[in-house]
Amino acid sequence: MSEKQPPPAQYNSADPAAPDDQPEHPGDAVDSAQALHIGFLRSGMSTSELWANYVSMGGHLTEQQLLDAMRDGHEIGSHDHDMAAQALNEHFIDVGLDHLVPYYYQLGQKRD
Amino acid sequence: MTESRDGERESERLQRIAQMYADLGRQLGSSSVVKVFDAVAILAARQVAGATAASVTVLRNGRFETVGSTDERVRRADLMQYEIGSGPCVDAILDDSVLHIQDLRHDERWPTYSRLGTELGWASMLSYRLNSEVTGPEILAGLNIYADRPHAFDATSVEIGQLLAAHASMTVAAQTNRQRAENLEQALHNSREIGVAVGILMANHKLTREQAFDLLRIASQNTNRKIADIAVEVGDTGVLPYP
Repeated sequence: MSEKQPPPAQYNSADPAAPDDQPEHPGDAVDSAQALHIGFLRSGMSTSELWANYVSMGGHLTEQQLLDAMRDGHEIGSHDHDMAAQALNEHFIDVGLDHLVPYYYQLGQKRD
Repeated sequence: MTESRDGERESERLQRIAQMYADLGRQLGSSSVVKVFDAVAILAARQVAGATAASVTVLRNGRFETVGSTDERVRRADLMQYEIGSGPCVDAILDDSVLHIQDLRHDERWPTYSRLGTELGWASMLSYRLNSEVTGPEILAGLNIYADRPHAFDATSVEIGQLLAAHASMTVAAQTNRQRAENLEQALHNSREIGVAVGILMANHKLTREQAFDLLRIASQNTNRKIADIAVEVGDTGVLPYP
């Protein structure tokens, strides 16, 4: 009996980030939704934690709306993007990393 | 006489189950959020006849992680399965099933893990996915019970494990909700400070809400401080701090 097929790459514990066709670093993302999604996956934050921090900055999307936008690639606007990016970046600061998630004006710019 | 003995055994079994729930409730009540999954694993190893060790696996944001365990050896066995991408820990969660491995040395379902798990000293396993309707949509979780001899688990063990898994589902749900409440409490506090700061900047500099937030964000980037901390300073002094 052949071994069961391993689950899709997204479940690989060695690299929990985006599926194979997405960049690994949020700074290399092509758009807002991708940057936030990659940053979210890399952060290890729970959805509720991200959403609570985003709301604390003045965000108005529901938790499900925020999650759906990241997963489905929907644009949420520059201000909402920056609030979500700030929530993620503050988590990265807490764990000793720099601001990994680009703000809206930085999208599409090459990383140094 | 036989019926009487059967009745006594059943009564003992039910008492054991009741005691297990009481123990779990006590453990969970006194455990920190971080330790609650360890408590579930410890109780599973203690209450399921034949068990040597146990662990709790969660699948969150596409990543498998052992969040509670009785010892390092069982964590290593879990990690092997995450790295391979298959094994009872992984498949019970992905397939929403109860998996019983009677003898790991001769189980053909996971040849790679069977070899590695046997080398670690494991011989039997039970893996259950916790009820996702209870745990919530954000995470999937599983309870894994290990034994270092083959055919360690009988029908009663499987049943007790299922009861524990059901209770563990509620534990996960309670922990998730507790964490959510803590997050919201902190967010509420921060939101007030940030709102005050945004208002001050809007008034002082004739800015829109978004522009005022941008000033706070830039100050946060330049100083590597959180927006809420900068907001407190704006509220206290009336001005944006400079690096």
